[in-house]
Formats: sequence, structure tokens, C-alpha cells
Amino acid sequence: MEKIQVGSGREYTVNLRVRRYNPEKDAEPWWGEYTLEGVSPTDSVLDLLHQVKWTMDGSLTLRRSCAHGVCGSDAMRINGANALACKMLVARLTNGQDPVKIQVEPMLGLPVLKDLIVDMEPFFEHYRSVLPFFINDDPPPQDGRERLQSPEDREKFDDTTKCILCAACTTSCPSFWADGRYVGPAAIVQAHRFIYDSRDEAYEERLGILAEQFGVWKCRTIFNCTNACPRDIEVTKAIAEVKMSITTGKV
Amino acid sequence: MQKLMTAKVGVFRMEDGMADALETLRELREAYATDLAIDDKGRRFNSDLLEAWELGCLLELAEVTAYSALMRKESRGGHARDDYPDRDDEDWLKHTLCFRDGEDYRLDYKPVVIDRYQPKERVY
Repeated sequence: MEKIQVGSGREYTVNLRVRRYNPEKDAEPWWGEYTLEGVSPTDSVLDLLHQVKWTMDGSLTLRRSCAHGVCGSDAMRINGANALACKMLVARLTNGQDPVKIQVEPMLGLPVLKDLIVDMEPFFEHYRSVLPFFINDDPPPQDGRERLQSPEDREKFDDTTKCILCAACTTSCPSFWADGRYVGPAAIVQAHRFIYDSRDEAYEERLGILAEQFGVWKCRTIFNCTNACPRDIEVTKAIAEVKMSITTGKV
Repeated sequence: MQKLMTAKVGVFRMEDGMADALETLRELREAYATDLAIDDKGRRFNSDLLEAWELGCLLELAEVTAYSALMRKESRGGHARDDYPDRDDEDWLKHTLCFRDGEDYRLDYKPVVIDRYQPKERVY
């Protein structure tokens, strides 16, 4: 990886290849090839896609919203690895070459609806299956204040609160590619966030769901999810903790 | 529009810049009405069409923002006028309302309801 020199004035030419597919008119997917000049190493892949869409071909279609790595809309496959287009800078993709070659594809394992947009519904169905919400039927504390939690207890699930549901992990997982019924790393991360929350009371139910055939045991510890996560969540570790809890019954 | 608004109607703004911006925004509004073309003619996920429609809305809002800010001759919160650096509660403790008036915009104001928190000077 090249050191990013902000304001160095260095400019690159980028040969951008984008996987295109519009089922309304294309019999099969094709590669759109675009040459971009004057690209700064601090430009993001999203900047490049915007440049194509706004100045070369308005029909290029992608999801994006905040453009700052928070909303999780623009996860895609960039040079063969999942990342958020808005966070992936050209400087990280130069490979010491000019022109820089960048290839962008939709995430794998979910149906392509158009160009870089995939159908997220199967992903969210898995997400919903792990009860990703706070469950506690006890009445709130008498003093009318919040349910308290020690900093140590909060720390147990701190990492998994960072998930933005971009699907970069789940769609980088070979187990998920092989069988879309696998609940996938993102759903397990979301379950983890509640299982280890001392204020929540439904951990047994969630562990039961994840102990099923298409739960955590489909994970073969490949670590693609951890590598793909744009929030640096230790996804494989979170999955391992859930596996451990299922085996030992301890949370 | 994006570059113009960032350069001339950002958090720190001045009379001249905003007056310039208003002029350019009017030109952009006209260009929008006459020069607009859409590449994507499809019916599925047509973000080209959506963005074109959004641009029309944003151009209108940009004009409302620039005009309202130009007229507010004080600084308050995220509206920092380098030419009027102080807050002026006597003249400007009021909400701006902007109305479409034919091809132009008309400003009106309404009083601020203050109940719980009294306004005070920001000292940090």
C-alpha cells in the first residue's frame, strides 16, 4: 500500500472496469470500461463511480447515501474483495502502477437487480431471524431511570455494536455463497450484540436459533468476514464466542 | 450547485459570496428547465431520473438557503457571517419563512417561542 500524501498533487489515470447488468435490456452481464484522468490518491472508489455516472453514463446504477462509511449502502466487490466504495481510497489500490486498474462488481451471493445493486432482502431475512432487538419483559426500574450496566458488561458486546449492516461480511463468506440458507456472519454479529448484553433476557432463544442447521456451525472459520468488515469488527471472533456459548451454555 | 454552495454558502459566509451564489443559482435554475437530459430511460432502479428530480428540488432549496442567509445580517449557530460576526437578538431572534412568489422568493419572519431554555451567549 502506498503512503497517502495529501496535497502532493500526484494524479493518476484509472482504468475502471464496472460489472454492468440491466435485466430490462441486457441478455447477460457485461463490463463497462471507463478511463478517468486526474484522479487523486485520496479519491474514493465512490468518487470514481460518481464521476462515471455524472459525466459519462448516467445509467450506471449503485446505492450510496452518506458517502462517509457510516450508512453501509455502498458495499461492493472492489478488486476482488468486499469494501465500502466510499471508504476505499485509490491510494490503496494503485499496486505501484499508473494507470491504476480498478475493478468493481456487485457483492456475491445475492441476486443482482441492476448494475451494482443487489437484492438485500435475503440478507435482511436472516437478520430478522435472530431477533435483533432488545428483549426484557421485566418492568423498568422503580426509580424511573434506565437499566444499569457495568462498564465491564458493556465491553462484552462493544465490538458488535459497530455493525452497520452493509453485508460486506456475509457476501464475502464462502459458506454463504455455497448455501444461502446459512444465516451468515452479519446476522450472528447482530445476535452477539444482544446475547452478551446483560440487560437483555433472550439469549437462550437466540442461541437456540443459531444452534440450528443453518446457524453458526455453517461457519468454517475462514476469516473472510473479518477481513471484509469496513468497521473492523472481529467478526470471526464474535462467531467463535457464540459457538462457545452454545457448547458450554455460558454467556 | 454542490461546489458553489460549499464555496459561497458554507458555514462561514459573506454578503458578496452569497449574492454571487444567488445569481449563479438563478442561471442554474434556468439551465435546469431547458438543458436537462436523462441517460437512463428504464423503469427499474432509475437513479438517473431520481437524481435529476432531486437536483430540481435542491436547486430550489439552495436558492431559499442563500437568499434567507443573505438577508440575515447577524451570526447565529451554523450561520456564521464574517461580515456580521455577532448575534443580534434585537433584530434577528426570529424564524425565517420563505415563500415562492412567481419566479421569485419572498421572505417573512415569525417569532421564536422560548419556554425552557433562555438564549444566552455562546462562550466556548
